Amino acid sequence: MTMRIGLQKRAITGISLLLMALAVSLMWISLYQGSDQIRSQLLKRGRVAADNLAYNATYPTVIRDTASLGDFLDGIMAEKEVLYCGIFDDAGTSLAERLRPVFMLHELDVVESDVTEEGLHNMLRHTVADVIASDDHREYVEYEGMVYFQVPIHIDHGSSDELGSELGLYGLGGALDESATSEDNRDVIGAAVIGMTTHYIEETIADLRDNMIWITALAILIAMVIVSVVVRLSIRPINELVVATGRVAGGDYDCKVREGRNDEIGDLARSFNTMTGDLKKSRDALVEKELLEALVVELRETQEQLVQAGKLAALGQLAAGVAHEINNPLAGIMGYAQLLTEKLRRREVEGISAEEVPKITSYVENMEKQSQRCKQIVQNLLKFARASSKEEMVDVDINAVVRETLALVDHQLSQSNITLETRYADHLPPIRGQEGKLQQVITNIVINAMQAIEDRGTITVSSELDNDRVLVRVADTGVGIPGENLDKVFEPFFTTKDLGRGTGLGLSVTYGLVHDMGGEISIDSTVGVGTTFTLAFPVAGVEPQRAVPRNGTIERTSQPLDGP
Amino acid sequence: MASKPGHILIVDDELVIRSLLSEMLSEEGFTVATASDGQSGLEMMNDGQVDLVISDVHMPVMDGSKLVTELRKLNPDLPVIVMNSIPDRDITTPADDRAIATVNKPFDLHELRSTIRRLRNRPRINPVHRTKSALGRPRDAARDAL
Repeated sequence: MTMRIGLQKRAITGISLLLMALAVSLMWISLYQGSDQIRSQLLKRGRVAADNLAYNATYPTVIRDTASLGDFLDGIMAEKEVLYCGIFDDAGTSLAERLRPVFMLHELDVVESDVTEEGLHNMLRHTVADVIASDDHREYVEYEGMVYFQVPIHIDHGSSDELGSELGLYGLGGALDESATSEDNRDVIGAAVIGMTTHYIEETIADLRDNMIWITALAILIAMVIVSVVVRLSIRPINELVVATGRVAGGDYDCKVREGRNDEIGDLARSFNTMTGDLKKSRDALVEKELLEALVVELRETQEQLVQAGKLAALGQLAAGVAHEINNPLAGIMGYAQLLTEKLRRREVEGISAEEVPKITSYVENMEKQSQRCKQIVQNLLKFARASSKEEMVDVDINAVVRETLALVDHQLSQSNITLETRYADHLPPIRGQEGKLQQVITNIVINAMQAIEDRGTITVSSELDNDRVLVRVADTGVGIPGENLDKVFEPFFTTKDLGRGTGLGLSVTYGLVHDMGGEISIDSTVGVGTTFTLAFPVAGVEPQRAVPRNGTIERTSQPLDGP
Repeated sequence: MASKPGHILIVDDELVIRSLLSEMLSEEGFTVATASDGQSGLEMMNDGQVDLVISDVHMPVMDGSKLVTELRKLNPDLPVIVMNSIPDRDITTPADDRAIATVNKPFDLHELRSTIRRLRNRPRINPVHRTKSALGRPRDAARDAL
C-alpha cells in the first residue's frame, strides 16, 4: 500500500524546499561576495601601507637613516594584521625590519602553539628573501597564511629631478605623478616589504559565514511557518469540500460548505452548494415518488381487500334475502311433495293403477330430494350471513381440530382411491380461533382437494410452526389450477366445476372464515402437479400482522456541516 | 276445559304456506284458521278458540316477533311454533318459554308434526288452562286429541 501524502503536505514541502534552496543560494552568493570584499579590503590596506612605507622610506634609505626607518616600521606594526615589515636596499640587504613577537601571536591564536619564535621569523625572513629575490613586483604574494606586499623604493631622474632635489624628497614626484615618469627614468634603490596575516580576515569571514547561516536558517524557519499557515488556509476549503463530498455521497444532502472566499475555491464551494441543493431536490422528488408509489400500492391492496370484503358483505345480504324469498316456495314444494308421497303410500290417490304407484312415488321422492338439495345450497349461502357468529374465540389445539375433521371425511376418502397422509408438528402452541369454523375450513379445503383429484392421488395434510404463526398445509396431487384462475378461487361464485356440481362458494366461505379468525389463507398450484393450500394462524397471544394499515415513511437525516 | 285441543291458527303472508299447512292439518283432524299477518292473526284470537299458533317471522303490518309478544300478553302458556326462513337469525325465543318452538323453512312435515305433538303434550304450568282431565292425565288427553 502506498502512503497517501496530502495535498497540504505536498504543497508545504515543495514550497519549503524551494525557499530553502533559494535561501541557501543567496547565502552562498552573499558569503562569497562578502569574503571577497573583506579580502580585497585587506589587500588594499596592505598595498596602501606598503606604498606609503616605500614613499616615506625613500630619503632615509638614501641616507641610510635606520632609526627613521625603524620609526616608520613601528608605525606600520601598529596594524595588528602586520606580522612583518622591513626595508631593503637594492642589494637585498635588510636596513630595518620588525617582527611580531610570537607569544603575542600565540595569545591571539594567530599561529599554532607549537610555532616557535625562531621558526616563525625564519619562515618570514626566508619568504621575504624569496619575494625580494624574485623581484616580483606584483601587487602581492600569498604564502602560508600570509600576504606579502613588496613595493620598490626608487628615486626619479629627469624633469622632476630638480624639484626632487630641492625638496629632498626623491620618491615624492614618482609617487605623485607616476604616470608621467617611465620606468627608465627611475632608479630602484631598495624595497619596502609588508607581510600581513590573513588570520583575522578568515576569522571575520568565518564569523560572517556563521551569522549568515543562522540568519538564513531563521529566515527559512519563519518562511516555512508562513508557508504552512498560508497553505493550510488555502487548502482548508478544499478539505472541507472533500469532507462535504463524502457526506453528500453518504446521503446527507443538507450539507453546505462556506463560500465566503472570492477566488476559484470560493467558486468551487458555490458550485458545490448549488449541486448539493439540486441533488437534494431530485432526491426529495424521488422520495416523494417512492412514497406515492408505495401509497398507490397500498391503496390498491386496500381497495382489493375492500372489494373482497364488499363482495362478501353484499353476498351476506343477498344470501339473507335469497334465503327468505326461496325458503317459502321451497317449503311449499317440499311440503306438497311430502303430502303427495304420503297420500300415494296410503293409496288415497284415485285413478292410478297399483303398478304405477311405485313409479309415481319415486317421481315425487325425486322432487323432494331435489328440494332438499336446494335447501342445502341456500344454507351454504347463508353461511355468509353468519359473520357475527356467537362462537367465542378460544385457544385451540390445531392438530386436534385437524385430526377430528379428518376423521369425519375419512369415510368419504376410503370410498375413493385417494391416500391421506398426515404430518403433525409436535408441541405446537395453541392458536386463537373457533373450533366450528376451523372444522368447516379444513373440511372445505379437503373436499376441494378430493374433487381436484380425478382418479387416484394423495392428499397430504401437515402442520408446522413458523415463527409466531402456525401453518396448516393441505396439498393434493390433483389437476392443479391455472395461473389466471389462482387470484379468483376465493371470489364468491367462481367455479370451474360443471354447472350444478359446485356453488363456487366453498373457498370464498373458507376465505371469510379464516379472515374472521385473524388468519391468512394462500394458494400455490401447478397445473398437472397439484395444489397446496396454506393456512396461517397467529399463535395465541400474538397480534396478527396485517398488511394494511401500514405507514410508509422513509427516514431522513440532516446535519449541517460544522466548520472545523 | 270445554274446548277440544284441536284449534290451530296459521299466520303467514305466503299463501302457499297457509294452504299447505291447512291442507295437512285439517286432514289430521285439526280445526284450522289462517291469517296473512300478525295483526289479523291477533284479531282472530278474539273470534274463537285457539289452542296453538303457527306463525311466520317476516310479515307485513305486524311481524312474528311482535305477534309473539302480544300473544304472551293474552296467554302466557299458549303453544306457539315460529317458522324461521333464515336459520339462527330471525328470532330468538326466550329460553324459559317452554311453550315456544322454532322450525326452519323449508321444513319437513314429520318434523312439524312432532313439534306440534311435543308442545301440546308438555306439562301445563298455567292454572288458567288446567282442566281436570288435562291436569290428571295430560298425555291421555293429548292422545285423544290426536
